[in-house]
Amino acid sequence: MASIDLQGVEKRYGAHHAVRALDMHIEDGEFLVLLGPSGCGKTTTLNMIAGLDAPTAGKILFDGRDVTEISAYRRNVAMVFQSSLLYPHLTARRNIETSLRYSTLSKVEKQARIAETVRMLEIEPLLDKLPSQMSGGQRQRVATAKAIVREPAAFLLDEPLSALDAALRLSLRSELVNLQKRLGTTTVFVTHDQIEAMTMGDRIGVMSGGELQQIGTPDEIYNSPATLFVAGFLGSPPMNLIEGEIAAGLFRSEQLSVPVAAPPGRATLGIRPQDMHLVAPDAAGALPVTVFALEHLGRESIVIAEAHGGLKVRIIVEAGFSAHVGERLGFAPDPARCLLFAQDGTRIPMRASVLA
Amino acid sequence: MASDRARRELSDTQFALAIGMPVFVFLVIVVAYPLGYAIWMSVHKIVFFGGYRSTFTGWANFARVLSDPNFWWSTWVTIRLTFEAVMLTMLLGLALALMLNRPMVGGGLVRTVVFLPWCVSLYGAGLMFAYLARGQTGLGTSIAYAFGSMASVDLMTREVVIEVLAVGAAWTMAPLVAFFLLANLKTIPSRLYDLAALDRLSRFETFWNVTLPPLRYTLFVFTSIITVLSMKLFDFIFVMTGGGPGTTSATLTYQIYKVSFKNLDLGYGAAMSFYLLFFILASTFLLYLVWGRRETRF
Amino acid sequence: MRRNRYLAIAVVLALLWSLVPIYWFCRMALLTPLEIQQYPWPLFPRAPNVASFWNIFGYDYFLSDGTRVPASGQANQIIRGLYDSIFVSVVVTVLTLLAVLPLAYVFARLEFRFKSVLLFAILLSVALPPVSTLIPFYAMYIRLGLSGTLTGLVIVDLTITVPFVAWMLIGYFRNLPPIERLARMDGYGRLAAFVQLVIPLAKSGIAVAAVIAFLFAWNEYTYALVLVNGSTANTLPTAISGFLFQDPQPANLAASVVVTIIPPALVAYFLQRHVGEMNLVDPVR
Ligand SMILES: Nc1ncnc2c1ncn2[C@@H]1O[C@H](COP(=O)(O)OP(=O)(O)OP(=O)(O)O)[C@@H](O)[C@H]1O
Ligand SMILES: [Mg+2]
Repeated sequence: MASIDLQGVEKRYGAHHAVRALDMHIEDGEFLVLLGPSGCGKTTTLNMIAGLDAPTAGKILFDGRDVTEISAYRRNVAMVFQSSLLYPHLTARRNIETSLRYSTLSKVEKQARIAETVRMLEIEPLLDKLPSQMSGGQRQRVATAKAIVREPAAFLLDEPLSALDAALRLSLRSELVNLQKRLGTTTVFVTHDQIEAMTMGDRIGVMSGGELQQIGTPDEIYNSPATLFVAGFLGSPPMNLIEGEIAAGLFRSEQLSVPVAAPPGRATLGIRPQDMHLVAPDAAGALPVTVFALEHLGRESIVIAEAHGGLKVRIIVEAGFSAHVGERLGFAPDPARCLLFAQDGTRIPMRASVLA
Repeated sequence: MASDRARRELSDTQFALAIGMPVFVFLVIVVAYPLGYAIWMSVHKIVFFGGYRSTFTGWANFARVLSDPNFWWSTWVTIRLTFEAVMLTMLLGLALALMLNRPMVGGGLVRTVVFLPWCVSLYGAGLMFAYLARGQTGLGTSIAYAFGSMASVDLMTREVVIEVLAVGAAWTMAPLVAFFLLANLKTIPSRLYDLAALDRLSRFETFWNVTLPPLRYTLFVFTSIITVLSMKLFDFIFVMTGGGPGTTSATLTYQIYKVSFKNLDLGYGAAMSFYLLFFILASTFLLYLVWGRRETRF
Repeated sequence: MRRNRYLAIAVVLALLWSLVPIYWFCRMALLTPLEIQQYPWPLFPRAPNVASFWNIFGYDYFLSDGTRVPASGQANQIIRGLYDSIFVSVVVTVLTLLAVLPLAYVFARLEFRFKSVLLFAILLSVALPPVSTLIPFYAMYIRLGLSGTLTGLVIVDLTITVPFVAWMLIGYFRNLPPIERLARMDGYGRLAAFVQLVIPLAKSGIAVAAVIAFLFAWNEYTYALVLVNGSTANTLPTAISGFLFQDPQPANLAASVVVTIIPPALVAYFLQRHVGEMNLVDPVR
């Protein structure tokens, strides 16, 4: 078990910054999810933690000890690679055994460890199969077994579930979390699936363009995103982002006006679809929109409406709601739930909000 | 900590140097020396008779080659033979691979037999085709006799000897192409054919859209390889026709052999070799420009 | 049904195409001395006999009518050539693999400076025509005392097999999954990962490489003719050419050529069983 620190870690490929100035602290025993769009540097970050890639600059510490120069194996971390890479020419058993090849354990201890792992992951029937003879889920299980049999200080998982179908993904998700909690091993889990991130992580680190945007609990990330990117990336349907101007304690965008406690200037207002409500089309301060489409989800419905300049907004309404396409409506955001972002994408902190 | 540092893994470059370099150095020495020697010869006039002498002549050998009608004749023969051999080899290789990819009874035996010509040396193949094509001992004459004709069917004539050479070369080289194309065909998922059947593609469309795309890059690579091999072809011609009849089948390789080993005009032969090397490199480069550049790898 | 008939026709044509030249020589080897004097030789030997296969290895043979077919004068050359050919081919195959595996691996899986220049140099040596390097090699061998030795022949064969086989294996190695990363996590050093994991993983590709090297060394003629012929170190192809020049005997010539096909044919049988497992496409990007 170990805590992991990244200090000013940077990775360049030629002139291309894959990861820039990354500072991160991962608690001992924590399940941290790294989330971000494709190509944002998640795998690169994970590889540097693992010791497979050397950072161009910065330091990596395990339990306060600098391991930047230490080889992957001696860091005592285990990794499950994107699409569950295994040795294709070795059976599941031999794949798991190679994890202990250089360990100093006695033969008996090794066998005991393997037996226990096999039991825990219920892969007994797979042991004599080659990876090419297994299904995606089975391969994933074997890859996990191969990783945990070493009882590593940290567990690094690179989109281990992305190649699987939805149902299997769902069951393996809880299995993995359960396993991690039982073992208490520090875990870094990379994904670009926000539901995976929200449901699995103790904390989530959101990355974009090689930079860490925010790190925090799922609740913090969802309810108080630090940047415009985080606000827009998490949540389904996504947060509505409306550009406008703050003046005299009011955020304005065409007819919309919301009381805010922030300094004047251009800004973007963020409001989640469930935090808006229906009003008459010409109500004071409300946003006049025309209905574009209606999506019924059973428990609730989503109104997709078009506002000025073609801007699409999404509003969650109760299931019974009905409206026809082209109908004019007005939507008013709940001022207490509004977020404001400055031009550069950072959050504008609201002082004690002035409620009407 | 210090020992950790010492155990730091080798970088790619260090590892590459450590395990690749010894071989590379051997290769460079063993290829560079003959190449350097050939360059030295090509700029000298070397005389054996009346005592070995070599005199520096600069570009004279290279200039002489260009005004030598034998050289231009051989260049033409080389182009004709290469073109025919490459076309035949590639078409045959593709046809054989497509055939072998079909499930059939006794497939293993058929495959072994089809790959068999690959095992015959160019030298042995040259002998076989010489006996097959000659009027005295050939297949044509024997068949004609079996049907009661007295005609002697000789294929080693000025008109068709190059075609006979091309057929013989294709006989030995096509299995090589077929083997690699077959390995490639095996990687096409059978689902794709089901899909093509669902889309009601005709047989030709299926071939064009499903079978061919993953083969295209391999086809390009082997067209280049076979081109190089055909232009380098020597033993086969040496044994089968000896450049004849007359100089009908004297390719550049044969011409170089004649100049160097029969006339013992070493400098001149070396100069001619560099023209051949240039042709070989130029034709592969040309192939790359007009074809290879457009092929993406799968 | 019709498709099957087309396939059957194609198979028959392919078998004829592949076998007719080989048959022509097998038949020649089986003709009796009497039939050899006829014109033209019959399509099928009327009384096939294996005399020439005994003769080329130095034994007399008695036909059923009691005629003695004497042993060939070339027999010593042939036997010697057989031994030397086997020796040279095996040594060349082993050395080629030892040399090529690391070389191809390094070029296929690692990034380092000057890679493309070095790769081009390998390609260049594939393009060199042997007829052009013969005399330089000859001169070099005279100076180094290597002419007429098997060592010399092995070295010169390596200059061709190494680049050619490397070129083929590079593409193969490149398509393997990135198991080195897994190996590093498991504590393997680079060399250990290569030797203990990559090589076993790549065994079918390596088998093909070995076969190609073997076939080349077994069949090489030009260099052998110039560099070692006339010495004690002569290989089978040069020994056979004796039947053309020193002692023309068509049946013996044919028999000895047929003998040279047997070892590679066994190899070809083994090879075709593995064709499904390897995808050796694309050498160079
Ligand atoms: N070896 C390399 N050479 C050059 N650029 C690279 C290399 N590896 C990664 N990159 C670049 O670095 C950036 C980050 O890559 P990385 O693999 O970390 O993305 P990722 O977040 O894991 O994406 P994905 O979700 O698609 O796996 C990408 O823009 C990629 O093009
Ligand atoms: Mg990734």
